[in-house]
Formats: sequence, structure tokens, C-alpha cells
Amino acid sequence: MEPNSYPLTGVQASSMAGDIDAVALFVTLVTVFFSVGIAIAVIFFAVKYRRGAKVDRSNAPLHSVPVEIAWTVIPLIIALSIFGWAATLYFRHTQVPPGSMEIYVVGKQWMWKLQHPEGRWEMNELHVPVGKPVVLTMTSEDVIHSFYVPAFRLKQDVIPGQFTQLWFTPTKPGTYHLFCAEFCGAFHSTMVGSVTVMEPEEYAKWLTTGNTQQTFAQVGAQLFRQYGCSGCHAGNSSVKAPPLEGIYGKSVPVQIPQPGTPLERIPATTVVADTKYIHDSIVQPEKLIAAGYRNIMPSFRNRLTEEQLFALIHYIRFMADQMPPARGSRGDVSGLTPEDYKARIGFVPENIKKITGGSDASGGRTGSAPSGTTGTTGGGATGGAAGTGTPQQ
Amino acid sequence: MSKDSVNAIAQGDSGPLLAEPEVPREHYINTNYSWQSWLFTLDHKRIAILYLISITLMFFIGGLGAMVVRLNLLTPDGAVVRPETYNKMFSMHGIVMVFFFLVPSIPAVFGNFLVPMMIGARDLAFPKLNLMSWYLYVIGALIGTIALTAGGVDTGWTFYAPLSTKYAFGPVAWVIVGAFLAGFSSILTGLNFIVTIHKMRAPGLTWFRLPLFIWSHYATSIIMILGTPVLAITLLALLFERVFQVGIFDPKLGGDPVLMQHMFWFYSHPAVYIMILPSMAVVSEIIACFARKPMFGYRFVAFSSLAIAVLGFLVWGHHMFTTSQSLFSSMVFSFISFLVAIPSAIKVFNWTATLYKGSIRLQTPMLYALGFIGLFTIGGLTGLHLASMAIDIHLQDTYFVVAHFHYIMVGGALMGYLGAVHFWWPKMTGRMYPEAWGKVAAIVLFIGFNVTFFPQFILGYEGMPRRYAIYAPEYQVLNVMSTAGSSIMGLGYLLPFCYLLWSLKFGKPAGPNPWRATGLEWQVDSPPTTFNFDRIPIVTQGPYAYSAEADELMDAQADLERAQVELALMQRQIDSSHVDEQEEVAGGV
Repeated sequence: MEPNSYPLTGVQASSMAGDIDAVALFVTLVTVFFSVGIAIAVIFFAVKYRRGAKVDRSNAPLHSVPVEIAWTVIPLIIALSIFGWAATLYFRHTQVPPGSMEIYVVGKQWMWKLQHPEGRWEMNELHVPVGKPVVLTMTSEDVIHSFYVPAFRLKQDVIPGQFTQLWFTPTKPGTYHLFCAEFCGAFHSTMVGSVTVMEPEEYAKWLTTGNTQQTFAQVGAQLFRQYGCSGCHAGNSSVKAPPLEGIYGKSVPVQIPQPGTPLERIPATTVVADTKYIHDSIVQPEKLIAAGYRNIMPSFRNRLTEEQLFALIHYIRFMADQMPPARGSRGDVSGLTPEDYKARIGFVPENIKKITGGSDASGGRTGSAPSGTTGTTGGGATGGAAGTGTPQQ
Repeated sequence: MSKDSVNAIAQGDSGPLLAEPEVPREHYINTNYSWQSWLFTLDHKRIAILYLISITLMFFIGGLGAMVVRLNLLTPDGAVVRPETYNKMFSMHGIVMVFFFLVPSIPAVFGNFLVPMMIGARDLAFPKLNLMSWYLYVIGALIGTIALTAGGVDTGWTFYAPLSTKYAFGPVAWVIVGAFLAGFSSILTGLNFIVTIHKMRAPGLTWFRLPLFIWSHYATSIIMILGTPVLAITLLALLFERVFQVGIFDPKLGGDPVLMQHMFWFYSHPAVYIMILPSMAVVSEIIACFARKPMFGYRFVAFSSLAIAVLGFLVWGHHMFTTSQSLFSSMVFSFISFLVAIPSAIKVFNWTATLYKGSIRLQTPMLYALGFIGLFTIGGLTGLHLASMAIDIHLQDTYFVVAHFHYIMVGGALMGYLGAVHFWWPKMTGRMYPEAWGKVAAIVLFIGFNVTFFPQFILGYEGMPRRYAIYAPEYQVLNVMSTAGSSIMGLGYLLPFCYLLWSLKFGKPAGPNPWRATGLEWQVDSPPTTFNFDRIPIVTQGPYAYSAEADELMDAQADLERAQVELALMQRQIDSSHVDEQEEVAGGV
């Protein structure tokens, strides 16, 4: 593609672009107003009161509290209104619209790999349909990168070991610059590409071309078997590992291990099984332990690439979308009775009743945990260390 | 001046008005010329000169990096060097300019020279610590600069992990050691200033009689001793991760790369105020002196320095709106960033108001001070773009950021530094710089600066990312403009370098107080003697006892007298030539 065929970034090609330009224009006007005002005042005074000029210099004021208050409060009001406006927009920027089309992005020195759920992947190019919210879930294989599309007025850092998300609704078909904005080493400036916004029909056609034998979920399913995940996590396996059907997006009870404290003494808490949780559970299984299970899973750190992890996560998500678990199955931990817990792991985690919403919450409190440590479910984990003097065994 | 004295001058007995000021016989420079007397000196003024020489050297090394960067950006695919070299050059430019030039610039040179003199003390509280801080700086700068020039690193001055701890080649560890040592120099200087300002003020010099220079340096010192240790810890952590693979920031070792950014900016944002507060200090002194007026709203200006120092510690997260920082943190950091704009605005308004009804002299230091006001205003206000979270997700890491912080650090900090150089040059050396050249250089620099950096605002808004060796062709026109401007700016730096050196030997002797400035440093000879004051002064009034009205009267009277003197001289010339003529006529007969 001819580089000259890129339109200049003056083009507003996302639903955010116009709004961001509007607030930027306002701040620019404020900048111009004050800079020019100060410059005029300085020049005017420098000329009028130049040395030797015959002007009235008597009774020059040396301080004035009302004036000081005026030029403190007026700029403050202007500043805070800019803050409010920009913050509102930014808030919108952080709220991914439900039902967004998800595309996975992996940055590595010095290229972008983009994976569509339907199976098609591309390098340094992104094709998206116009008018539909798209969310990019991104991570990096090595250093920090930053996904930047000037025509969308948006960027988001791509950070190794973390997932960041960037959503946008393209509003204008065309081809736009894609830049890496965070310095990432020798060929940082060549980690560039393009984003092509297409009409939906064109996009649908585009998706089916190229070498796409499998959907991304199928790739994940294959890895799920290949790396032996299914050996423990599949519904019919004999090893005691939490089944993964239907957990994506749900609250799951976990225990957060603390050095020097046996698992029996650690109260449970809940986390949402989102992309990050699943990612971390694969590479750092010791970080959060599903309540009701022992930590026997080996870490897959450095054994899977970020792309493979994405495929696995996408597969687990796909299972949740496609097949909600039957209540009472092993995947539904909230259905376990204290006896079930005892049978499985030999103890009942403190708080588990409360977390899983069991109606007999009093059973969970019989150990008379000190008040103050049984506040919110979120606080259970942090307050837990102090409140475990009377384990519920 | 009476009629008699006019006659006396006319008769060749030059009175005080036409008297050439003399450089005093013995002062801190000529008291001993041996190299030991310089390298082991405990005199704050000599240490200031040592700093002046070392940071000037650093400035030109950092400038060299900038030159290669700007030349390379003349064409979209890199005009002179390969991308790897380009990366090393902008890293060198940033690291040298920030850690080895801007941070020490005004505090270590002018703070060292002037803090004791302005408060009527004979030296800083801890002279040996002061010398040690210079040695730490020199060793750090040497290690850092050798590593940067011999091997070169491509981390940028921000050292973001895991790029710096794992992926970057080159002697990164040595550069980190250099910056670490220079940081300790800064801590010791800050400590010394705080103790000195608290304990060694002359009798009668209460807090609200202190020049604003001292207030600003006090605020700067607070940032130095509270912020720099965090930088030291961050650099040490980077060093441990790079050398021993201790997992702190690299997620592959179990670390968190965003943590590094938090720690880095916890120092490096306040560090911006380490650079700009001393410049504000200088500007306050110059404006008052060259407008011949006390500072308008003295207390507001003084307290705004402290407000900047305190609030400046709470805004570091505004560098991280596009990382994984939480929405709530970003909101708080953005909010406080808008608050910190207010004390800076207060200063600008007060400086401008000081000009009102002044008697304004547009000599070189004043040109720099007024230039500072204009450029700092633009730099500060474009900071609002970046503090606005929604705009920042577009502008972060683009040339808009580059333009913004150069308006603050070059347009602000460096203009202040050069203003200080010209204002106190007579005091430090006993010689005047050539005024006409000074004005030319200041104007050249102002024009060159704007031609260089203004286009970068537009480049940034059009989306050109920073640190790009190779860029999209539509950005070329503005880049060429910027490079052209930088060559004008380069000239603006070379001029003072040349004429200031020239003035050391050929400059007019300055006399104790060429600017007729108030302030204790102007009450003693230029250059001062080793212990500054023969007798510790007793202070009975506030700073800036200027009166524009009285000055105008005095000026008018002086002008009148000068005219009278000239008239008398002319008269005498006419008389004598008349006599000669008569003699000639007589001889011819």
C-alpha cells in the first residue's frame, strides 16, 4: 500500500474522535486566550512603562487580596470544568459496550498480531466493520507497546503480563495509521501498520477469505487437549480440578494463599472469572486457588505463548457462551455442601457460605469470627489473616 | 551633583558618574590560583563555578544528541543515522539534559552561589557536604556520559521496564549508576539549602523578608530530599533486575512493569518542578529589578512555590492514563493536575502585574525573564490538554508531549537559567557581558525556540508518535521546519558561550551593583571576597525596596547631569581647540 494513500489524521474515524477534538479545541482556545492575553499585557506594560516614558507611576499597588482571589478562582473554575468534561469522556472510553466484537491483539518486538474470533488473523493490519463497537483485548510478549490509531484519537498501552482493553466504534470507512506509541526498542518506529474500516458486507466477505481453517475457539479447544488441560478440567475427568464450562464471567469462590498460613486457615473470597483471572490461573496457578480444590496445577508460564493463552481463554469463554452448566454439576461450586467440601479437601473454607449465597449463613458464622473481619465479601480476603484465629473445622 | 563637581569633571577630575568601576584587588577567584585550591575548595562560590563549568560541558553533550536527532528527522526514513543510533542519541539527549544538566542547573550553580549571599551568610551550612555533592555529581556524570557515548543505550531517559532491564542492549547498568550518583548530589544540595535557610539568615532577615529566590529554592530543596530517594530506589531496583534478574518489574520474573512507572514518575514529575521552580525564582528577582518595583503579591508568589512543591508530589499518575492504571486513580491524578496549574497561573499573573506602573528596562536578563513568562504560559496551558484524560489518550507519547515539556524545560527552565547567567554574571566574574550581543542572543534564541517547538504541537495533534526514527511522509514539512528552528536555536546558545568567555578578559568591570538591585548579594564587591561579608549585615526591611517613581527621577537627574558633563566637556574641547587655533595663528605669525 502506498504510504501516501493514508489520509491525514485530521479525519475523525471513531465515535470518540469528534468529542475528543471538541474538548481539545476548547482547551486550545483557553490556551490561546490566556497566552495572548498575557503577551499583550506584558508588551503593553513594557512599552507604556518603559524607562523614561512620561507616565503616571504614582500609587502603584503592591498587593491586592481581591485581585489575587479573582485570578485564583476564575482559572480554577475554568480548569475544573475542563476536568469534568474530559473526565466524563474518559469514563465513556473505559466502559466497553456490551456485545462488542472482540479481537485479540498481541504486540511483540516489532509487530502486531491481530486475531479475529472467526479464525482469521493478520499482521500489522486490522480490518473492522464500520458502525459496530469493537473491543481489542491486548497483551505483549515482551516489552510495553502502545496501540495507537490517530484517526480514532485513541491509544492504549499493551503491557506484558497484563490485559488491557481498547474499544472503539469506527464511523468512517477508510485506511488509517496504526502506530506503536510506546518506545519499544530498536525498530519501534517500524512497528506500524494500518487499520482498515470496511462496510459490514465487505467485512463479512473479507473474514471468509485468507487461510482460516478453524475458528479461534477451535484453536483453543485443540490446545486444551494438546496441553493436557482436559485431563483434569474436562467434566468427565477423574482428577479433582474445577471444570471450566460456564465459569467465564461468573463470580467464583477462591482462596488467596498467604505465606506461612495453611490453606485451612484462609477464608474464601470471590473474584470474577474474567480474561485476566483465567490468564493468571494458567501462568500463576498458585496465586488464587479455587475454593474446594487443592493447588496441584503446574504453572504454564513460559510454556504457552500469549497467543495460545488467548486461544485457551477464548475457548473457555466460548464454552460459557455456548453451554451454561447444569446446576448441581461439579462446575457449580455454590451447590456444594459443607460435607462436600470436607470430603473433597478435608476442610470448609471460612466465609464460604456467605460468599456462595447459601441460605444457612449462620452455619458459617458459628466459629464466632471477630467482628469487623466479616464485612464485605471483598474485604474477607484482606481481613482474613487476622480473623482466622478460630478455623471452622 | 553640584555645579562644582561638573566643573571638576570638565577639568579632567572624573567624579563618581564617569568613574570606571574597578575589579577589587582580592576576591574569591584570585585569592589562590592553584588547582588544589579549586578541587578542594569549601567556598560555596567556587563550588558554584565548578558546577557551572561541568554542567555547561554536559549541556553541549546533550545538545549534540539533540542535533543528531533533529538532523535525522529531516527525511522520513532517517537522514543521517540508522534507527539504533537514533535511539541512542535521543536517549543520550534526554538522560544528559535531565539528570546532568537541568536538575542541577540553577540550584547547583546559582543556588550555591547566591543562597548564602542573599541571606547574609558566609557559606552554606555544610561546606564539605557541598563539595562532596559536586564530586558525586561529577563521578555520576562521568560514568553516565562515558557509558552513553562509548556504548550508548536505547532506553530513553524514562528507563521503562522490562525494556531497560531485559531487552535493551548496551551499558544500561552503568548509565543507571551514573544517574543514581547524581541523584545523591541533588539530595545533599537540597539538605544543605534547607539547613542553611533555616539556621543562617542574617539578623532581622525574617521569612517574609526573604527574596523569592530563597522561597523557591526552599521549595525545590524539599522536592529534592523527598523525591530523589525514590528515584534512587527505582534505579537500584532496575539495576538489581538487570544485573541479577531479581523479578521486580518484568512479568516474566513475576514483576509488574506498571509499578516501575509509578515509582519513576513519583520522582520524575516533581523533578519537573525541581527544574522550573528555580527558574521562577530567577524570574521573580529579574522582574522586580528591571521593572524597578517590589513584587506584586509577594506572599502569594512565595506560597505558590510551596503549593507547587506539595501538589507536585500528588500528580505523577497523569503520565499513566493510557497504562492499566485504574479509572479511579486516573480521575484523582487528573483532578490534582488541574489544581497544580493554579499556583503557576498565580505566579504568571503576579509577574505581569508587577510590570504595571514600573520603570521597565529591557536589558538582556529582562528579555529572558519576559520570554520565560510567554513560553512558560504556553507550556503550562498545553499541560491542561495532557491533564485532560480524554485528550491525553490521543496525545500521550506524541510530539505534542515533546513540545509541551520543551516549552516548560527549555522555554521555561533554560530561559530562566540564561537569564540568571546574565543577571549574576557581573557578580560572579566582576565583568559585564556585552549588552548588545546579549540582546541579540536572547532574541535569536526566542525565535529559534518557537520555530523549533511550535510545529511539534501540530505534529503531535496529527498523531506523530515521539521517539520515531522513521516516520510517515506527511509529517515531513513540519519536521523540516522544526529542524530549521533548532539550527537558529543552536546559534542562540553559541553566542552567549562566546561573548561570555570574551567578557571574562575584556568585559567592562561591573562594580558591586551594576543593576542597582536590592538584595544583600549586591551590597558587596563583584566578585565577592571569600567570606562574602566583612561584617554580617543587619536587615531592616523586606526585599525589593525598589521605587519606579524615585528611579525615574534619579534617571532624569542623571541624564541631566550626564548632559551637563558632556556639555562641559564639549565646551572644554572647543575652548582648547580655540586656544590651539590661537596658538597656531600666533605661531604662524
